[in-house]
Amino acid sequence: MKKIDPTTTGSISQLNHEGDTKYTWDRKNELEVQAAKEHFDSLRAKGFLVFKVKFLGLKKEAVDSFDGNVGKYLFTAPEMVTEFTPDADYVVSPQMSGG
Amino acid sequence: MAPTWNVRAGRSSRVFLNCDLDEPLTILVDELPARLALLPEGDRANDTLILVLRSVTPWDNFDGILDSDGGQINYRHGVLILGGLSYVENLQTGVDLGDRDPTYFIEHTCLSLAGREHDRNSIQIYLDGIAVKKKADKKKEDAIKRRARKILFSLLDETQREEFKKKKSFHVLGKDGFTYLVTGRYQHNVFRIEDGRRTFEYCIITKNHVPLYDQMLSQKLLLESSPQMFLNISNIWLLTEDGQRIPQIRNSPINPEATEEARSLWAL
Repeated sequence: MKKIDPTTTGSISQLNHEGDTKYTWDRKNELEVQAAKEHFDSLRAKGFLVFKVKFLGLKKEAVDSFDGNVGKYLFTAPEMVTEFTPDADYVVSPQMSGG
Repeated sequence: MAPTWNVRAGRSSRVFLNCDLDEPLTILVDELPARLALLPEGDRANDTLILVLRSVTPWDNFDGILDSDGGQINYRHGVLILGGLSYVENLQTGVDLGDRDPTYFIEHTCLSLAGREHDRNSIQIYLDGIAVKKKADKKKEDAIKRRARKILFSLLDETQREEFKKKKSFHVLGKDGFTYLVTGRYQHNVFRIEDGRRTFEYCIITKNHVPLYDQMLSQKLLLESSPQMFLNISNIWLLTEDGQRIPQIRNSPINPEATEEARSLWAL
């Protein structure tokens, strides 16, 4: 499987019955960014909840988020967003309801 | 009225059709609808095995002669299993039933078995097919579970991961400043923690089916980004000190005022 470089590749992970489906784009490629925006907007239009996230599981993010002063990883809280920015990573969830 | 066929994968049922030695097998065609009607509707799965038996003992003694357990069929002296054919996905045996009436199916089975007294082969093929299918399903389920766990872990911090590994649950600091506990269940699995105890219970699920770990992730993300939406959507129970639910605020959108009112009402 092709390795994804998180510094140059953006991602939308859509949670679904198969775990998740990942959509990626090259952040420096305008055409791919435009297509990613359209994908993002279509998911929003379908009512999915879109969260901008920082994947702590990725090595780079883990290194970046480690605060030596407090000796722990500082967590970056997710944001629910409506606007697409190519530099971010997203997790998309189905709508939720009371169980 | 002929029973309708409810295609539902993943579960196997069995229908035993018994025929005495001196009777023609084709009479079973008439018997099948009544037999199927006895099955709960949900049990009429697409991999239902219809066994055709020729009995050399009276039907009344049939119970106890044939044991069926966990896919193994043991038959004893007195019953001859003539055949069993069924639609098994991806296996080129039996009849692809689709949505058709099962009468067609049993007719095909009976006619194809007429004149044959011993045919374990088709049963064995059926059982092998089920085993292969179960193995494939399990493999697929495991892969889905691994994927869901991977993305959940990529958004948990180190402490949460350790907690999850030990307890299948993790604490989340909501954007509203409250601490929540997300536990490894599909429903009634989120709690607000105050002074070390569970004070509220929330039930909130994804509208489309996702693996458990994905749902836990959705709950976590919502709590961290928009707890008000989480609270508005959830069904909520206030919990007493001994963890009993107080049902009165179920289905009520909750806000700080309502919370305080409920607390004061129940002297919590």
